[in-house]
Amino acid sequence: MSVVEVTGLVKRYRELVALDNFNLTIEQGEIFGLLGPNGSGKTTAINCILQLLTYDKGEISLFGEPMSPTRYDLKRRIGIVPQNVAVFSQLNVTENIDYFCSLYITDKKTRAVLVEEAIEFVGLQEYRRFRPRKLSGGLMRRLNIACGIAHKPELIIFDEPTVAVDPQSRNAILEGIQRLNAEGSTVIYTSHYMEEVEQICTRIMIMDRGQALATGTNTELKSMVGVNERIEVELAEADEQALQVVRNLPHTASAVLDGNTLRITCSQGSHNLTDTLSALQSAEVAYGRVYSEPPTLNDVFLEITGKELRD
Amino acid sequence: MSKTFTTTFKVLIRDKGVLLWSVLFPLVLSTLFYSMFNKLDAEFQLDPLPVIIVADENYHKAQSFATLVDGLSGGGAAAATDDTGGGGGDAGALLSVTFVDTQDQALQLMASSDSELYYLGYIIVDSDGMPRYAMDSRLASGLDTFTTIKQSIVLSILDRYIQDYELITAIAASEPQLFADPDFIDTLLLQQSYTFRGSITANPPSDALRYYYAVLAFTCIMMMNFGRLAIDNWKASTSPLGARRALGSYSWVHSLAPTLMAAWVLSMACATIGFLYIRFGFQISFGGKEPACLAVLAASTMVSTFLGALLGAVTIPGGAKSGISAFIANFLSLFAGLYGPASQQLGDFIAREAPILAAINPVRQVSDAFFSLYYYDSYQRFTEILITLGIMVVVFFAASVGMMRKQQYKSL
Ligand SMILES: Nc1ncnc2c1ncn2[C@@H]1O[C@H](COP(=O)(O)OP(=O)(O)O)[C@@H](O)[C@H]1O
Ligand SMILES: [Mg+2]
Repeated sequence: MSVVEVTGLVKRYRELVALDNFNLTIEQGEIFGLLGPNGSGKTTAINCILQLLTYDKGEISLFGEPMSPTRYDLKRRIGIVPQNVAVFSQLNVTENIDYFCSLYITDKKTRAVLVEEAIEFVGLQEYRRFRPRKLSGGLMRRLNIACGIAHKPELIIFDEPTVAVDPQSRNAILEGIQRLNAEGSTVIYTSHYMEEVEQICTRIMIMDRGQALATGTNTELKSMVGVNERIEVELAEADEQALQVVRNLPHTASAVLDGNTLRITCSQGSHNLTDTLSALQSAEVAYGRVYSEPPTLNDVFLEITGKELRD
Repeated sequence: MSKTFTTTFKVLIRDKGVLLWSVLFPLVLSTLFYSMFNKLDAEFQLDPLPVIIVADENYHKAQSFATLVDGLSGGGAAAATDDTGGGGGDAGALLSVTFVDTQDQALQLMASSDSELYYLGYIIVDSDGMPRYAMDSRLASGLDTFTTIKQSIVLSILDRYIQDYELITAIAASEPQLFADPDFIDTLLLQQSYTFRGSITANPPSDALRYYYAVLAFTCIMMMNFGRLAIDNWKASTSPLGARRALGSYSWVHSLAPTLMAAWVLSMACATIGFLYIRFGFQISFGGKEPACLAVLAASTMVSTFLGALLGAVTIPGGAKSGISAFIANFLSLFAGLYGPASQQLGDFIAREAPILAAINPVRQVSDAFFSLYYYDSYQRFTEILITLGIMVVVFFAASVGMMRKQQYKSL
């Protein structure tokens, strides 16, 4: 049974088609990444799944059952960490978490335990009595997360949880998501940062203009396109012979000489860097610095759409 | 449910801006009025109103009117025929009467008190036995508030007398046999003295009351901010907060009902604070009908809560809404006479010429309700106003909840 099953979803905002025949299947236990530039339709997809938005066409089922605005039993099993921080500025950390937990858990005692766990989970122990306005951006995001997860949902949706967050908080958040997943929650993670998605997601969908462009694991996605590693070698002098040597290597997809710098794009395979360097050594080509860059999802995105993922 | 109630209550009560307007502002405003008026009222109570009465043939024929005048001037009027310039009033007398023989003398006397305006005017009885009042022509321009009230008292005395007189003559004309019954005459006389005391002595007309009642009515309408904020935080389409709440595992009615309830309870609490402050802090009378006043506050804060909810429900930017609510409150209060004599006259004019406009103005209705409780022994007007406010509750409730129901899952 899939946790999320979306078929043929179409959502229009007047003329703008925000989701264009969008399909999505997420299995239990995944950390599923929705990767796409700003405006690609990630939040719209999430809001449709949650029935916060009406949509023009398509079917959505959660936990194997058709989702509707009144399926309160299904809502009980979902936790949401929205893109925009949604907490009461008039309530302190504990009160906020307690309130959002109360949307699912009526019993006060049970809730007290869950709220405490959530506070510890996000590391806000020292800020229990703080109102949001006194929290830094990163701590605020953590509060936003705690409000979404306190009731221990089976499916947790994180919509860009690391926007405007310092690197330290960002790592804490990513690590937290992995822990939640390890404790049994299925996770949907949307982001326009490919590094984060690569780091934690077990499966990734690349989105653009409301369409799913490719879905698969990190490795699968990268193998879909013909690019792999990029290598740059600074030569002592511009050397046509060196260029020839490199071009003759089997894993070289392309190679150009840019001044004294030799730029190489590799096709699939491992040991590309060592193979390249040993070939240059055998040809007695003198070289200085060497840069090697593994392939990224940006390469995949670039390959499919012809534009950079980075905004 | 109860968690939503307490949370909404906490959120609203911690909103400094709204609390300031709902609690502090009315207190400050009424304190301001108090410092303005307590001096005024004292002054007003001390002096009997100086009037001239033309004691001609008609006056002496109108025996009952002469008796009334005698009573109002503390029983000493008959003796005070010498022109002592109005010094002859007892303590507790309402009128200080100076008798003259002819209308010309009355006019002369008024003109002779040239430098300072002294007499309010003169009363002359016409050939039908009806007292008529003519004010000093200099009063016509530039009436100050004191004089207006004083005049209105003289007028209201005469009106009451004429009404009673006409009633009795009408009965005498159509059912003369009733006058053969001594019991009937007793009842009639009793009635007359009762209404007379009730309207003049027990709850003396006070200009200041209007302001206090208007402040309270204004306070009640300002409570719409609580309803508005509560809904702003609740509606999925106005705030990420609302969206998050819409994902809870309870139905929207389950979360809306305690939200509005909290807004109303807080509104009622704030309005009650204002009421208690005015009633007991300044000893302002509400005709001794405090429970009825609380009923007015309850109904009117409910109107405000749902009006606020409606404002929260409509799709306009949140920033504009606080401006709109302030405008609504101030605009409606204009016709309840919050802003002084001009605003009172405008409000009264509209109430007279277009009563429907006064009827749909909750602020006017609330201040009218306090007025009717103060001036009338009967609860009829009060009941009418409660019903009117009840209709407003239903209308605003239906409109706001209907709108929210429609929007609930439509747009983000
Ligand atoms: N309420 C709205 N009304 C009109 N257009 C919208 C609305 N919300 C989003 N859009 C548009 O829909 C597209 C997808 O937006 P969104 O789902 O927020 O993208 P993402 O979350 O991937 O950044 C964008 O072009 C955005 O401008
Ligand atoms: Mg988004």
